[in-house]
Amino acid sequence: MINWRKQIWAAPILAAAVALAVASLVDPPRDAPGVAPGTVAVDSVTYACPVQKDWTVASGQISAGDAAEATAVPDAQVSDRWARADRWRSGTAEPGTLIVTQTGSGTGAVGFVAGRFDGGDVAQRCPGVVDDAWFTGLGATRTHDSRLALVNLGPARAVVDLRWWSTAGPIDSADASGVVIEPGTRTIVAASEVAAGEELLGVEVLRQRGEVSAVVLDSADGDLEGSELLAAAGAPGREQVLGGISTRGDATLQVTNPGTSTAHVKVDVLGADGSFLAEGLDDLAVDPESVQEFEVPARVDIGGAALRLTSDQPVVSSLRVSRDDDYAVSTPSPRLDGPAIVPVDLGVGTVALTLAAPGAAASATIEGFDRSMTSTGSTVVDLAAGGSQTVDPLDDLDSAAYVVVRPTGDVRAAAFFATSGRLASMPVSTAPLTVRAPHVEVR
Amino acid sequence: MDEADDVSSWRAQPPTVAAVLVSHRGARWLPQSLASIDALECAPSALVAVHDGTDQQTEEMLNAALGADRVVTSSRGLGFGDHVRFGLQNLPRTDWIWLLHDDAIVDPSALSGLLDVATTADDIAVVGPKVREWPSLRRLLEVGVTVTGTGARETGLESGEPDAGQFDRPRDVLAVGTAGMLVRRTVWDDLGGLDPALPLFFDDIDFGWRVARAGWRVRTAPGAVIFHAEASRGGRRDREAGVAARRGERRGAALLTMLANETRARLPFQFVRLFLGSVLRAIAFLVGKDLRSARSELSAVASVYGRPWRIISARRRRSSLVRVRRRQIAHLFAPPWLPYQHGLDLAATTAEAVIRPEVVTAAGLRTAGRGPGLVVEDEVIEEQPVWWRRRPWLVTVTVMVALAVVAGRGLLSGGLHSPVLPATPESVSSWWSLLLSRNHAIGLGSTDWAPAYVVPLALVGSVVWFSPALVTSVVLLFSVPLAALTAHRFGRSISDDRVARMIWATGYGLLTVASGAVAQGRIGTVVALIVAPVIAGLALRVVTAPTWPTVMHLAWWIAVAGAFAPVSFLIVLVVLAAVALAVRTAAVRIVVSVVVAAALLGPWLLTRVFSGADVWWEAGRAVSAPVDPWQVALGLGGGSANAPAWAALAVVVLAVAALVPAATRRPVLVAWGVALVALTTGLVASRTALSVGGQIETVRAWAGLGGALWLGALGVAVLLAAPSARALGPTIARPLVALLLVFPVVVGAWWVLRGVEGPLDDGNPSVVPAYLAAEDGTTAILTGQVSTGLAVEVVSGGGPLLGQETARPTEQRRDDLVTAIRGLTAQPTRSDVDTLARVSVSSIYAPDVDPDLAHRLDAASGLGQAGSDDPSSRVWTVNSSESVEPGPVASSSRPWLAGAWVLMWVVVALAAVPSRPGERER
Repeated sequence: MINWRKQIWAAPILAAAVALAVASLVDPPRDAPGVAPGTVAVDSVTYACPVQKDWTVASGQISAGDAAEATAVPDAQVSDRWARADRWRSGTAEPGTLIVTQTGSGTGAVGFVAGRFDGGDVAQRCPGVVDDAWFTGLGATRTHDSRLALVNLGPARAVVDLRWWSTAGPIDSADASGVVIEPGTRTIVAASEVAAGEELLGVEVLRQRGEVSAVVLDSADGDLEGSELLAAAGAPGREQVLGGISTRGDATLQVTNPGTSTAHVKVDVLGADGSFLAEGLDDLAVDPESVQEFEVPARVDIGGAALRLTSDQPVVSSLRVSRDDDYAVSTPSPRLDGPAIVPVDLGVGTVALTLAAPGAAASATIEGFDRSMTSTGSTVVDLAAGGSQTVDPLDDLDSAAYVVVRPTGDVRAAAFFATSGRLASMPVSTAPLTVRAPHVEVR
Repeated sequence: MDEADDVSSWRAQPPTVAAVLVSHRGARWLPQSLASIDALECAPSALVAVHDGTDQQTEEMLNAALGADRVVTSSRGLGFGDHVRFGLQNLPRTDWIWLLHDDAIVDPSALSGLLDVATTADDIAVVGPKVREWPSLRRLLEVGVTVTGTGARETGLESGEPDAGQFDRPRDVLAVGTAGMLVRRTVWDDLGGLDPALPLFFDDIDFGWRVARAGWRVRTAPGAVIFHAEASRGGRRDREAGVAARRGERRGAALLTMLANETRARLPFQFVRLFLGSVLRAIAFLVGKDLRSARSELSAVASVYGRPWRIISARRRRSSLVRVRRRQIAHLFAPPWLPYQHGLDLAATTAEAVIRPEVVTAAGLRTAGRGPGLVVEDEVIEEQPVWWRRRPWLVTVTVMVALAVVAGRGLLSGGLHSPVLPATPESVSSWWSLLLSRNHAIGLGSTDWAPAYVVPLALVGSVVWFSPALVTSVVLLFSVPLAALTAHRFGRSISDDRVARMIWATGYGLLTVASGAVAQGRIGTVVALIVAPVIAGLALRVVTAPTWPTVMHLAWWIAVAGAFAPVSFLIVLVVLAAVALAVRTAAVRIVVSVVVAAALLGPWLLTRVFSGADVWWEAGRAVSAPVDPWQVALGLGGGSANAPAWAALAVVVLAVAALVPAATRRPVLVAWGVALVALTTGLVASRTALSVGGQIETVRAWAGLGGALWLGALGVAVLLAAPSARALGPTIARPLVALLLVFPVVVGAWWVLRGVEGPLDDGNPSVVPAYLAAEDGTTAILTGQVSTGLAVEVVSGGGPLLGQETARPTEQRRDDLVTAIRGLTAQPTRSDVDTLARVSVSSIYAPDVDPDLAHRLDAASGLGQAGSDDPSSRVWTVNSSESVEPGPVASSSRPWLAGAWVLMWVVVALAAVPSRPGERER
């Protein structure tokens, strides 16, 4: 029989071995996984509306803000109507740039501008501060010229870098890097000054310092005729949705490939019943570091539909549709992460709203509001997977100054304005209620 | 008369000498004293014995020995000088007066020896014999005396110094003792004899001083020997009906003598110096818990300074007798540095007590023999080996110190820092400010309590006020000898095996470097390892020989360890709880020590010790130290600069073997128990992470302390089993010793070859680019990625200094900063920049910057891009006209509470000082 008292000397060894074994079986602590960026309410929104003579400017918000302030660049008398942060307001402004700053937590303040220029109609959302803005389909010829307007929205000097691409590749320009925009000023960069004679251009505006907005006023007076105010697209992507062309006409697709590999692009049409491959656009090769244009075959019916571009390389695209007197350019519609505002009384014709669900089936609620921000009714639009719907936002509504589109699922939207043969297109983007911000902790 | 003349020429015409023997209750010594007088080769011309009639036995002895006609009775309560004066009235006038004590034996040739010197020159007024101790007879007591500037009687002799003829040349001195003093009668009369104001003490020095100022010489006569029992000075004389005993009479006599005899020019300085010195002495006595001496000191001050007319009167009496300037007799006084040399001697003695030399060859005693009834015991100095073999531990420590210098090459300029160890402040005032101020201008501003380890750092650092870096440098660079010293001291209390003890202590000291603690700058672990043997030794004493100072001592060191390495408090808690359960009689004292230690830790107890995983966060910054369990079991801490793991295998093997012998198994099991607690601590640490940056940054806990203590305790087990191994004979013991040597030899070589540099460094400690540090602004350091989260640390100047790294901003300021940084990285506005400026952030620094973050911040208005010191980093300056908001301020009670906290450390430290034996006890 074992005398355990005599064996006690082995107990510490056993205890140490057990402790060691247990510790070895326990996984070491892992590094902190980190925290994904969250959202913070936007407390202050500033946007710059480029204004030409007799253009209409409209300002609104999802919810009433605390205050609003408008200034003009160059300095000019500004109506006090823009100071009302609790209603929809519209009117004309002096040519130049109207800068509106609205405060209030998560009000989703936005501005729009519309009017006629060089015989064509334009309608666009007033851009706010951009980080990385892309434009494609620009021209620098005598008959097609594009002008990039950079507006400093802040009190300090702003600096941007510009990178240009043509069909032949990147354009070296001494003036492209470190473009300075002094506080309270606007800088116009004409494409013809950078790459005179180039018929097709793409440009990236990379903000280096300060608060700056960017927009391109595109006009043509040749085979192509009319004008368009181009909204900035976000960073290049492998999937983009172009909508807001509710008409037939000569359509061309412009694609900028900033990468160093050839991009192969496939185009699907997102119709009312679903998507189908656009014939002749199933494999568009875009050379690296260049912008190229592809004609959309007439047999591809894009009227009232949306296009989905899928690429193996990040690209930026636009769709231009021209008719006799004008043309419209559709730029990529970002995914709606929240409510978006679509103006309906900008004075540039009727509005057709294209809603697309490039992925799974989705829906969107369209609610109308009058100028006092009182709801005038709403309707729900169901979208098939990979499908799109173009609707009159004022259907089922008595009247409205603007509508708010609230998405459920992955919804993209674009607005198309048309009157008397003149066209304008505008991607619909989320009102700035919140903004993504990294998680921050103090050590 | 020329001194060159024949010294014995007086014998032809001997001078007359009147001897006065003063006795007060001296029956204990008189038989031998009187017998020695009777045996004098050269007898005095006249002799009278004076007694005060307080003791019948004394009177009878005197009458029997000298005859009633030579015995006179004086009044009671008189001092020695008055007795002499009374005796002289009953004697004829002679050339010389010879003063004798009843507790002194005179050598047969004493008087002739005195006259040999006294007659060599006409200006010699006083001659004193060589005084040896009675009853030892061999040790010297005095060969002339002087006084130091602090009023201390100075003999110039080592304590217990034997008479080997080293003072056998006559010399001029300031004074000689009254026992055996030969005084020229004319001078005695001129000066009025001994001062009645000094009845018992310092009357000799005062008299000699007056003699010297009067232009006479006081000289020693080493040929004359007396043996003095010093009954009054030693407190062995019954003073009933004699001079009334007063508290502090000895020190009072010294003060009065100094102030009465100092020159007018030196008096103010001495007046203040002696007063302050006495107060300091009283404080020192209080520290030593010698209340009796403290009260005596203060009573002496009161008796002298409280009655200034005594000083005035004494100075007036002396003024008319001054013939020579003080500078002419300056050589008779003790040199001014002598008191401080005594201080150094005390420090050296203390250091030796700490080091405790391993071998001190015991000196035997032999009987020298000298005359009938006199037994002289003399030390026998045996044949001894050379000093380095005689004191092997001292040699080992010296070698370790030398090797520490070599290992610390490149770091000896001081100012050490590492990712763990923040730089040490330039002045210790920074630590005091951290402790006592209501707000700390650190980063965003903080009202946090200072970490507990700042208290001992500030207290110790105050000694080197303008270079507190010396403290951290010494602790880190000399951690090996320091830890070895404490370990060895503990080892002496548990083992008599000298060799094993030294090997173990050396190995233990090397644990500080083997674990990687030193090279990583983990000063918490280093201090805890140095302190651990002290705690173990004190805990042992609390159990075996408990005293309350020991309990306080234990509490203080537990608190020190807990302050630097919070987890050590938990280890001690577990071990002492087990001890308290096992030894119930010590339970109360153990509980008290733990409670006091907990109180000393103050807020630290809640913010660090009992604050979850933060208990692993030691002094300095929290820096990850990934480690596997098997590495912990071999004493390693993970991270960088770990010693070869296999070196510790021998210790583990020996510790297992130590469990086998039954004879030593019980203490070995106790050591194993402590080791297991340490191992468990280390293993838990190896599987623990602490959060220093919320959800985005975790730090793997440092397991080095647990691992090192585990190995150290195993070493104790080996040490405890060493006698059993010795018993097996050299065939087995020698290989075991060789195995025990593996760890110290291998790790020692690794230590010296590798050095302790890296990541420990002594270069620029700034955590921000140099120009930002030079601007002394506040910089927000951003680390992490936008996609996974950003961590912000706000630093002032070049970064936090040691002790400041724990200061956290208030919630409000933290929220403001987080909101501003999020805003800047999301949708920058001017208000975000203004917020940064308001919370005092003047720059943003992003080392190893995330390009996305850089792009976002580049775009922010109000943030100016600035140059950085590294291509992978970026700096932005905050450009805002906003003024800095005042920082948060703690409540007005904070300085008082913090002061009480510091005071508590001091009080416990004083309570830990062992009681000093009082004068009577000594």
